[in-house]
Amino acid sequence: MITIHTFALFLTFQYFFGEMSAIIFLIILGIVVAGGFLAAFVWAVRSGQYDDDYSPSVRMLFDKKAKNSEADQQPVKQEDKIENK
Amino acid sequence: MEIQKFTYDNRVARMFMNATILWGIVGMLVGLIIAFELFLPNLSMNIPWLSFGRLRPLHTNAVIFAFVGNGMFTGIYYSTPRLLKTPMFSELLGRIHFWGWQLIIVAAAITLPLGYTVGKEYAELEWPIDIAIALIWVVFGINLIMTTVKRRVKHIYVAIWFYIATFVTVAVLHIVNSINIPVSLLKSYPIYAGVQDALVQWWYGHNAVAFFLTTPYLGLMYYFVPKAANRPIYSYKLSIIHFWALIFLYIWAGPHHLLYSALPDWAQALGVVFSVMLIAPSWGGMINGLLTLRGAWDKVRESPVLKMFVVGITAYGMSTFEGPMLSLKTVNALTHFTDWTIAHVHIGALGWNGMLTFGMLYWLMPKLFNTKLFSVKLANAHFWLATTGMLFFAIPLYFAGVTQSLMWKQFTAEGYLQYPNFIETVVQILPMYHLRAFGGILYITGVILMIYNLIKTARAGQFNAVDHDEAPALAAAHHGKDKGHRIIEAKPVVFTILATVAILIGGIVEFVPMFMIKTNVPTIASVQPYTPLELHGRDLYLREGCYNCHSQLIRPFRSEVERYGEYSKAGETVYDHPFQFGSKRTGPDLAREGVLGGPIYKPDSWHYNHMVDPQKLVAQSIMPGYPWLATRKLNINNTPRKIEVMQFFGIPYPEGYAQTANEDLMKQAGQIAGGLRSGGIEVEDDREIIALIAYLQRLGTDIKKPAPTQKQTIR
Repeated sequence: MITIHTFALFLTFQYFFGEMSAIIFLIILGIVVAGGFLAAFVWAVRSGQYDDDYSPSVRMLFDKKAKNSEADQQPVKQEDKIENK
Repeated sequence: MEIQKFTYDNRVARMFMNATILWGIVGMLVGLIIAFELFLPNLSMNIPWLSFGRLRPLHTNAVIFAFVGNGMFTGIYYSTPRLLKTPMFSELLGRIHFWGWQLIIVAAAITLPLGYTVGKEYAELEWPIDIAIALIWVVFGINLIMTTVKRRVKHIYVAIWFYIATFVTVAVLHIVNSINIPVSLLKSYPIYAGVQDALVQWWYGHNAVAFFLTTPYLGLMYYFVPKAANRPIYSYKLSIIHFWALIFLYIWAGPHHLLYSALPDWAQALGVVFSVMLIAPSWGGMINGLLTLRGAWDKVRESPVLKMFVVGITAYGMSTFEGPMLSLKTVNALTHFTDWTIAHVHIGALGWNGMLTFGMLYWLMPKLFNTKLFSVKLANAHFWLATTGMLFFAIPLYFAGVTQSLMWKQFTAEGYLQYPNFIETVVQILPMYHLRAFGGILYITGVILMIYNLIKTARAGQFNAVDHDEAPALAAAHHGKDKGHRIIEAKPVVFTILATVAILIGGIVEFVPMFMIKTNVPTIASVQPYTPLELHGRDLYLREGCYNCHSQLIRPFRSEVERYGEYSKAGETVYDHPFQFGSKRTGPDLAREGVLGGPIYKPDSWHYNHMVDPQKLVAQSIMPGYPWLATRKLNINNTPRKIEVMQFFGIPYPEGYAQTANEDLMKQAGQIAGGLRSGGIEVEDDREIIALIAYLQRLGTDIKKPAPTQKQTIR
């Protein structure tokens, strides 16, 4: 689907811009991709992804521990036990 | 708050890990073979599928897509669920992804040596394989994105952002650069031509480096370096800033591969400016990785894993400094087309990708098998072999690149080229090629030690098929808003993709008249389409991988115009599907090969003898022989289809020409073969070598011809 559309889009640009249509095509595509990233960035900031810019870096160091107090009451040995399934 | 229990599946990660090791050694061994072929050209023993031109694409594809590809998937399938506190979305998709990817690699390993190629670097694979790649990539993407959607932590750790950017961008790059129109099951032509094709190709090529070799591995760095050092990343803030900066800048840097080409100056300048700016985010990543170990350098002394990470990240810093420098026009004038480029990419591949992968494997294998690394000593030995191997590889090639380039440019006091024979500049750097191969041997020896070490480690332990974990559900943890907004929030990336697709479709609807295409209006009236025989010859040029060693782009320098002839113009390549500018001059440029009376013109008989046995004519040549071209019959059954595809692109062959093309073809072949026979060479009209000679003799000749009259559409 996307392939066919991309193809059509390129040919259309070639029709209108001739010789260096690939530049126009790639610039527009680049802007689309960058725009997508921009949207993702805006989403990330607005949804509070970066409100805390320290603890995520520490949290990822702990693999088998849930963050709340209930989890802390679980015996650690059981969590670390290895099971083959 | 409800605590949910769940498991992480280690099996898919292990499968990818094994594949990384297997394809790693295969890709590197092929690399070693071609490193030897560069000074022992007849190492291939006249076996077509062992010749440099066919094995070099196999080497690059195997290392990039098989070794690094499986390496990134190993790390992604291991780290993603742990970072997001949820199993991967689908184990089945994971397995389809794994087997699909391996199948693609096997298909590549078979078709590339057999000469089935599109003829564009790192995008050589033919269209059925391209489609398979796109499908499997989407499978990977669905698995990754849906896992992100199902996450149990609100915050998406920076490594995941790198993985997502990798998926999205590689999908776009691959699809746009691989739009080829099939001629047959294993032959196709790209829709773009000449400079346009070059631009699309290097937009793809550079971003393949950016989004296949860099962003996923930065993601791995942000997971495995803190894990191995057991301390948080130096600055989480910096990781976020450099991520967004990196992905915004990288996509524009492609044109720096086409400096001094026929690409418009402003586009070249754009590529240079963005390339230079890229130092900032790249070094942001390097600094962040290295400073994570601040105050923990004692750990580095003891841990081979951390040592490898340190050298890997340092290599990343070096090559991302080197890259912008090579993008400066003045530096590029010296280094482009030389071995410097090869050294540069290998600092990246051997240093950054290799070392990071090895470190990850040494860390992961004991973890998955619940044991300790079999031998730290062996791993340390591997570290030193890899580091010295990398240096032995790169440093001689820096010298080779500068030496050869300066020789190409050297004039005598009288104003003649000091080294007019290309071969002189090759002989000068052969010792460097020996040293490079030695470096390769060191590096591969290290990898063999690693394989032994890892197998021993796995044998000593017991495989953890699954790990258990638990976490509170996400929904209760932070969402308190209305339902509709929540859905949008939960699926940011899905929405991003949908928006992209929407924009693409919207654009198409606005610019409808697709069937009215009139393309490739030549700016140089005398430039004509290839004759059917030349077209076949061109396809043979692609099949044998000539572009791996010969460029077809004369830059506007006095030294190049003296050596090769008039510099290349954009209008000359409008019928070239694909373009064949090349990126390396192991042999001389061929853009004006056919110009009678030009600096490098050779008669048909010379080409014939040279192709069959190059050393007979140039004793010190490092070109392998292609004797099979003189014995194999040219396949002309697909001529009509080839012409039809070209006509579809808008190339002005007369209407109905597809049916009569073979008549012209045989006429031209008869002339060339007749000429050869009259010179005492026994050859039949219908051999492949005739077509290749026809193509070589056509190269660069059009601009000197008078513009054709209206009747005369074909030469």
